[in-house]
Amino acid sequence: MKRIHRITRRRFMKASLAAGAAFTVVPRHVLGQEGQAPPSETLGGALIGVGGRGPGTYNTMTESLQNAGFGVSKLAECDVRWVGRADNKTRYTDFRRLLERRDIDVVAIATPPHWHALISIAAMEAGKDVLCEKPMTRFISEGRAVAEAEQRYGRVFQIGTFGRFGASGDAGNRRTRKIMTSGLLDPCPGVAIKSGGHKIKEWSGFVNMRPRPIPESLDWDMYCGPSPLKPFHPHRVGGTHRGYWDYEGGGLCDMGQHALDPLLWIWGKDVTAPVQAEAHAPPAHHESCGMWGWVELTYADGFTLVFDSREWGEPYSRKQSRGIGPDDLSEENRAKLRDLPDPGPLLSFGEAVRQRRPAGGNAEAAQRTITAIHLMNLAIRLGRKIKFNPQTEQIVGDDLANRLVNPPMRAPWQMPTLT
Amino acid sequence: MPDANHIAALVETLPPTDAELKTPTPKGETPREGKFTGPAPDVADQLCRNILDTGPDGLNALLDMVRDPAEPAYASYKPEYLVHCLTLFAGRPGLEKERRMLAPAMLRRVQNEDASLYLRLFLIRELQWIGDASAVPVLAGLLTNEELADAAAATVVSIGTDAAPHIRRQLPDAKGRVRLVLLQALGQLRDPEARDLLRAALKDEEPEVRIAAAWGLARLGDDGSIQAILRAADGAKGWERMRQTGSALLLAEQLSAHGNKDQATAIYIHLRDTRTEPHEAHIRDAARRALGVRVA
Repeated sequence: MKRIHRITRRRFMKASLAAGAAFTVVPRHVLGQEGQAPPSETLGGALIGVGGRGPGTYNTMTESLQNAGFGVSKLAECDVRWVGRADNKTRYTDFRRLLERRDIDVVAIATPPHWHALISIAAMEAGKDVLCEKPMTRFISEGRAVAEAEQRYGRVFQIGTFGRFGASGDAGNRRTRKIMTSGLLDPCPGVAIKSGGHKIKEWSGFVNMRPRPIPESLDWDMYCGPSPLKPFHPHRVGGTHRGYWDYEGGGLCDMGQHALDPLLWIWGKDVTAPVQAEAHAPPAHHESCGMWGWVELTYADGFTLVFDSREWGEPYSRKQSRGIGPDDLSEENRAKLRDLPDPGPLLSFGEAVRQRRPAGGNAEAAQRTITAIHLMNLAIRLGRKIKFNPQTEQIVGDDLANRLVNPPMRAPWQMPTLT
Repeated sequence: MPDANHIAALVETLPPTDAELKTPTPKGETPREGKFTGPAPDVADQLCRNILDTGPDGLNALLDMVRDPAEPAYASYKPEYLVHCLTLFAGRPGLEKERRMLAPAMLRRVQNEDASLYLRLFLIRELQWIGDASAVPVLAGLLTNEELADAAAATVVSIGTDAAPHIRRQLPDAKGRVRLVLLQALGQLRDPEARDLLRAALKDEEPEVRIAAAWGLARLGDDGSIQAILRAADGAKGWERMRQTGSALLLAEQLSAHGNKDQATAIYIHLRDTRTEPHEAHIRDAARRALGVRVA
């Protein structure tokens, strides 16, 4: 179903005004059956990646759109495990064929994360709005490319984590954000510590993996996509892919965006990145994600954020959690704070599509969260302190580490970016 | 000269997998798959020091222990993991002496055609972490080897220094997928000397080569390719049209960033005026935004 309501209405009005014609606006409900969005308000939907999270992600997208008054018609799905079962009409194995369809307006992406950035950008290049599962990306520079594409093509992008929406409903959180984004508290004594719930052991990868025959129904080359083509093993697919650096980044990438995103909203750090990351962990395996103890992020204003796994080693003990409030400000700055506007509401995906404005979990905000996650993982993988420049989004003073910020993709896949 | 048994003993200080902690694998049987927990950082550092203190012969003895898991002789994850621990250790700022011992030892094994494909690929990927310009000529020589090309290209591009001339030298002999890998590598490196090669590739019979060429030229900000890229985009359909149009927009951004606003404007005007179908309204709007026209 073509999304014709914006263009035809605009053209119609322009033409009518030019012609001096009178017209009557016909209410939407007249055009559609009662209780249903009229055809001109029905969007064509598609799902890419129909594994564990896929149906749920698609439903989340649909509900958000329906709440904003749209109807959604599911037109197509795509999964690389459907070799021999794809009809290239409603079922695809190649997302490029799906994105070529002109009747698809919105896409939910639930592939493993090494595909998230490329498919999100491709979908926006094709004129679709995107709801993409977390983690947003596999490495730092991908996220910047997604944020650039969101701006370039004027599309709506929403990351598949929604904690910030709930967090923004709390008055205390809004007050913290207001203080942190005001610039009136520098240095910031705040410390946020998240202990446990990182699923590290659960999403660790295997070692001693003997290669297995590739299932006939799986397009393994396409599955690997921009990541290196490695011998097939079933643990690299279907949820347990989370345990491999080629596709994700362990529990930190799986749960990290959920845990960190609301924290970064609350602490006003969703417009910047840490300047330092330090981890306490065993040396990382080159293929399989493994155990870690804690990771400490430091921001330029002194704010500290810690993930303490409670699954390995001694618990984090350098600092204690510390909130901030108006009492941390001088009297003069408290007065200034009162005059500043409160944080505005976050738009849901559906509202953003309706209003053509950035969603609450837009690509820029999501990039800031996933950059923090990737810096944590880099500190774990490299076994050394990382210094980072939030403006250039490069690691500072460690050229070898910087190679992991933007590793080359496997041909024929390229990241559509100038960096 | 370090005894291979000494190296093996050091390797065995690494922990078993969780599965083997519960039930050790009987000697001679295939080790079971499973998760593992590495040593504490200070223990790992000392282990790395112990290996590095044995010098090149010790490193070679360790590399000899790395096996392909598909082989019957595969015994354990531990040798390969320890090699990577050494990579992480020697890659730290300030440990240049250690890095200069480790990287060449890896490179020699990569060069050895009798070494297993598995080992060569593993070490090429390790060199992506710690290799330097001295590795480039050797790795570039592997770029036309279909089994090694992807890994070698990724490492050569990651090293960056002096990579482009070596990649260009391999192109005349490259065919099929390997040719695509090399062209894409030159695009990633933004090699100005690759301009003519990429321009020619815009007309290649393979769409993926054409797409990679336009992308590379956009990254170069090649103003001489404006018309060719726009023609490529206008004349294509579906995925290729999307990609080539995207590269045209990237080219415009690169030109703008370097002060060539008139040329960027020409691209935007072209896209604004030619993308008239409803399904490309977002391209038209993108061009109009870039031209400073407010889009409703």
